[in-house]
Amino acid sequence: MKESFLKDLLKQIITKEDLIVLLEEINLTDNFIFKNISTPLSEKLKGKTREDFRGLVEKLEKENSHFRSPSEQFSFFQNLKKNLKKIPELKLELAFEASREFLIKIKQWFRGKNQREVILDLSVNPEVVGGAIIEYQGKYLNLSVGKKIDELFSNT
Amino acid sequence: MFNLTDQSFFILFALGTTIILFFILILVIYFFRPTKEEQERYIFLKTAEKLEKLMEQEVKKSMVTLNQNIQAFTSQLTEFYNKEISAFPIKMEEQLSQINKVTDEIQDKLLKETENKIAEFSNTYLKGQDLLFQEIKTKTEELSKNIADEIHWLYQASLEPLSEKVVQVEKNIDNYKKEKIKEIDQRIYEIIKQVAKKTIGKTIDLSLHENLVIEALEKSKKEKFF
Amino acid sequence: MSDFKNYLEKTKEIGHIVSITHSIIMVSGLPNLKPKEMIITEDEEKGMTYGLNENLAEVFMFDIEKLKIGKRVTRTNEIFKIPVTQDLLGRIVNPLCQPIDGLGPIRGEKIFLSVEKEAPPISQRAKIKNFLETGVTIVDLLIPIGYGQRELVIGDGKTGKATFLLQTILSQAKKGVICIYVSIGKEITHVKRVEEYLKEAGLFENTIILVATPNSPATIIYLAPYSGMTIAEYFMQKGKKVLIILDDLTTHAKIYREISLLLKRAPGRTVYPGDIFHIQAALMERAGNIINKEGEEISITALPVAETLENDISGYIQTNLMAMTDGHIFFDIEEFKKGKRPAINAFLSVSRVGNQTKELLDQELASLVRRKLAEYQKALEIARFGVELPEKTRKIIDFGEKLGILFNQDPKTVLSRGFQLFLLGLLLSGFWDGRSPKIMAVTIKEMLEHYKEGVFLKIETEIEKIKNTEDLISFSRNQLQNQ
Repeated sequence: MKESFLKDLLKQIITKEDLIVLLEEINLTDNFIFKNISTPLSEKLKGKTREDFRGLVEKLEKENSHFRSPSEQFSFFQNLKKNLKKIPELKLELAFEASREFLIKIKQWFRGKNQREVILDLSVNPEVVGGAIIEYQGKYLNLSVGKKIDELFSNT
Repeated sequence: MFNLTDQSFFILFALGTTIILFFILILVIYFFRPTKEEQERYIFLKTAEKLEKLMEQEVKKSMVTLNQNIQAFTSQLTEFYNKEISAFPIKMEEQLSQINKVTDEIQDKLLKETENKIAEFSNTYLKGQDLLFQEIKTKTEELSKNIADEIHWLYQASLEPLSEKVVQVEKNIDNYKKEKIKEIDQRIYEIIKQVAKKTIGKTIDLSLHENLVIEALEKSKKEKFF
Repeated sequence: MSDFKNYLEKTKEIGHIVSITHSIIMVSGLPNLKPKEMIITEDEEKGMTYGLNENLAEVFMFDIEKLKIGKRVTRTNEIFKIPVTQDLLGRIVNPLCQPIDGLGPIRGEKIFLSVEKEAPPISQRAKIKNFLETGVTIVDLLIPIGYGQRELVIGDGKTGKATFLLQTILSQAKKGVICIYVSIGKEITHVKRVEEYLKEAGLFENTIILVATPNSPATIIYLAPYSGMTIAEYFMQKGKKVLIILDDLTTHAKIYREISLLLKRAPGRTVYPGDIFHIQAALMERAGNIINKEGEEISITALPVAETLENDISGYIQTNLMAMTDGHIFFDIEEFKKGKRPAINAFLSVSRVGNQTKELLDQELASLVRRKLAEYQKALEIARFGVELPEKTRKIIDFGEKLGILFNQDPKTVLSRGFQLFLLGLLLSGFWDGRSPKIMAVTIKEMLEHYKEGVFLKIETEIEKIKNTEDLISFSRNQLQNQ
């Protein structure tokens, strides 16, 4: 059950900014775990976090009875934070402002080709012109149109 | 029996007393006699007093003789001094007159000598002057000739490296021109490159961008980047 | 294209600065980074990789002005190197071989050499056989040094160690030996005094001064002795004899301790890291008498300096340095207070390989002088009781005092071996017997004036031919009679 929670959660996180927001939400959730133990956690989070996240917590509570104990909740969220921080970053320098749909497409491509999750860190650089400059786990690859134009003009 | 009359008794008594007194006197003298040291001191003092008196007398005598001698000596000295003082100016005058004579003689001699020397010197000087002028003339003639030759030679010599320098400078100018042209070319290329980038960037639409990104990701996958 | 972009395209690896602690940065990324490899930031700042953790690399940065967290860095795939050239002679540089004397850039053909090179193996080592003249009588006689030896100069601060080292440089630079003075954490005023001393003697053109001031980053100070040794190796490979002075290695140890603690290494004895012996021994081992590929003997003579406190030579770093060198010259603060200059305690100093470089005459004289000094010390102890001393003891004390006067030397005087032997010969022949030590001091002063004018050159050359003590004494006596 918790795996499905993670899966659903990962669908929500595309970019680094999403991850930061989520981690902040989890930190906020930690503050509420040990308050008002009789009230379900999802109730306590009403109006405090995004509805998507709150909904996921509610779903988890309904599907998993063990999850109702505060200690279980606390250790779950600590593990979740640890695992989320372990997800590698894929840094892309693009020549345009990519839409959310396109980002989801990239993520799905990555998941399909490499069977791994990834967090996207995007920046816009007009020098790129087209294509992308990719950084992943310390490795760097410049596959931009801008580089090709530079090479063209340096050879003349 | 033996009868002592009062008179004989008195005489005996007086005699006895005298003897006893004499004896006591001797004892007193013996016990209060001055010691050897005191005797010596007494003798010494007495002799010292006598000596002192003697010395005083002698000193007085010698003082008198000394004064007499000093007086005699001073009178002699003053006599001598006066004699000399009176004789001194006369002697000085004699000495001065002698010195004047000698200096006059020397002066005359010197004048004569210098006149002779001046005459000699001016002769030689004039001779030397003539010689010098001649020398200068010849030398300047030679020098001007040499300078003319040198100038001519220098001119000829400078023409060669000058022409080389000119060639070198022309080369440098050419190189500089080439470099500048190259720089300008590069700048032009840079401008064209920037323009090309901007133009291409504007012509690429959103879907093409997305395709290019996916292509790049595919290529990186092929290169085993992930 | 800038160096950073060049290297980035070449290596295709990138990292980011994650944290900065003084001059040490932690870098993420760069999966194939190796230890001692050079890295470069996007502002062209260079650093050297020191350690590799699971996710982060520890890098020593030598230029720290524009560092900030998040800055991009890339590998260069090259070991950290410094540029060395013949034109370093007569210049004052920092450990990166950048000039700091204001005389413009260093031109000349440069070659890049790694700062951490492996020491030559035993098969390339030759026996130390040539004597290195320091010009200081007490050292040349009793604690001789050979070319290729590592001799530690140890003592309290302000006991005259730097003066002795400068006299050695003076002596050696005159003979064409390349002298490198590495100032590790010393103030600029001290370096200025060294520069002025050498310029006054007209020998600055044969020396290099390498300076790491106390206000430099700790990594620069750490690098200083390694850079100095690299420059020494460069000149050694060109066939020159090199003398390198490392002033001082106790400061270097303290800086390394600071760096290790910043890197959160486990502290060892007296909070020094466990590998402190290794890093300094590896440096010292690079000096020595080496046989090059052409079969010639080339040498680097190292004179590292260690500072003590209150004559305590049993400190951790001090004993380490004594263990990794071929002897030590001990500058005693007690001798300094008594007015002895140089304040060297010959009994507590040792030269393990220096004696094999000396002639038989010098060895005889050294053993004679040592015996006389030992007798003198014993006699002084007896004299302390205030008893009336026998004639023999008085003679011993007199001789000992006169020997002390002979060993006294002012900072700007260096004496050749010949002249030192001549003075000793005079003393042994009884020239100063019956005269007070003060008269001896005055005579020696006068002789030194004449020595500087070159009056004794003939005597010095003739003394080189003498082989034993008796001949020396008779030679000195003859010279007196001739005078």
